[in-house]
Amino acid sequence: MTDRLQTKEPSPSLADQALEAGIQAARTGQKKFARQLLLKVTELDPMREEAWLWLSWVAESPEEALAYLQTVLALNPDNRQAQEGIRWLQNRPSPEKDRGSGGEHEPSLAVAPTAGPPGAEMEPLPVMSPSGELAPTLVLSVEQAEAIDRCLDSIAANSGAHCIILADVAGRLIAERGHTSGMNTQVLSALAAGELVATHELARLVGEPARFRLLLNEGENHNVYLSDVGEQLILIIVFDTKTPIGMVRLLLKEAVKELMPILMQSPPTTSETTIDGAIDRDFAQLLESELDASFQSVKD
Amino acid sequence: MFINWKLRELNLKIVYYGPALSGKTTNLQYIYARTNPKLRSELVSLKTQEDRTIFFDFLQLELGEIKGLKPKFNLYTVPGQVMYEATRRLVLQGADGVVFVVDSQMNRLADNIHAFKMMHRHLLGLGLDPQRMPCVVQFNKRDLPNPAPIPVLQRLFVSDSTPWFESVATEGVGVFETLKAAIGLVVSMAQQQL
Repeated sequence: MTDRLQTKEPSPSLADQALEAGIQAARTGQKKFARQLLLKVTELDPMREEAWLWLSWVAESPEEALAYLQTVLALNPDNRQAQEGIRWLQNRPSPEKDRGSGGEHEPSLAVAPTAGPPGAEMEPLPVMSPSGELAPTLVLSVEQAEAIDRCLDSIAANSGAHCIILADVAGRLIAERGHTSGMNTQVLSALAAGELVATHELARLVGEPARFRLLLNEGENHNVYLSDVGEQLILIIVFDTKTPIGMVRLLLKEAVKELMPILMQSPPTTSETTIDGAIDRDFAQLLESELDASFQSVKD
Repeated sequence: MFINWKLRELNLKIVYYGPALSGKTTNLQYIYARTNPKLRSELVSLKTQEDRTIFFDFLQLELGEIKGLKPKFNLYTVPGQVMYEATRRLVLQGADGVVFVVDSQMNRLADNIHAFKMMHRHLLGLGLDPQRMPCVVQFNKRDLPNPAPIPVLQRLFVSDSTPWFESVATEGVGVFETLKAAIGLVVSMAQQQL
């Protein structure tokens, strides 16, 4: 995989020279040559607004010119010349004009870039690299998982709920109890999380200071109740329409109270340490072969 | 990352992010079509009548037990259209890794740059560190006319250690390579975190 990794370094001096020559060629009307040089500059250093600007001047069609100018704006939304250029291109009276003189378009002088220092106001693009810690990690010990199951069992028994599912806001299924056979609880968790998290956003948009913490979906035979459990988790209760909603709500509140201390416990200790070692280099290699096998298994 | 030691499950979330029509859903559709049905969930697509993603696509891959652990990978796409900005942020929540799908066509360059910046902003907004987020970049639609030169795309979207792949997702070219690289990165990250 290493040969796929990027190793190319910018060559500022070469890019400078090509840019200067490109601008010179554009100014003297050698559009094709200018275009080649300026495209070279964008290959060497795509962050150069000036190269993109001049490219719009020597572009072969208004559509291409527009793409170059939009690239300038994507790099620097405040670039006035690109803004004016786009406005000019979009307000052209008729596209027929462009085809009139050999297919080449002539932008107004207002669009022509000045030869100022390149990239002076440029905002660098973010860079991503793979190392370090990230999204919150949720680790449940055997004891915690069992305690959660007991808690969910007790709600199911008391409420007569069809099933109860605990998921997290990222849509991951954590625990499921009750009659879930034939039900794709993983997909259900992903959808429920999306739904509840969307209501948080909805609350924000209507100016509600607190989050909407509950969501009820009413059907003809089943109702589905969604509720926050702390900041990261979601409880999903599926129950039939005969069950009074007030009771479900009450049980849910109690369940949240019961679940919180279980989840607050510090994550696993001794019994799991041997499994911690399972995710090693070996694991990665085995995983890769497993992936290859799963992809190939349906090939002809 | 979510680990349930009782069930011995390792659960990781990978989000396909990118501008509208860059091929995020197509990636998942190809993975779905070519993966052993026993190892995958159904492909859930929440889309508009015009067949555009409105919320997300979701696909879970569940591999056999490896060294006593069952790895599960939850693959999501975000809706690419500009108006679904808020939704993109929601789907990124809890992501253990991202695949940034670039539309290689020259006239989509600006949209790619905008989406890349927004992804960065969303990750920061969610309290995630974009510099440390496992990321794979896919240059898709390499078969279409007038693709942006690879060196240009590399300089724009790829840092020194970011794996990147050329792809034609409609034909499956580069799709599994991208996914395997993303899975490799998130697992290696999980390894460091444990």
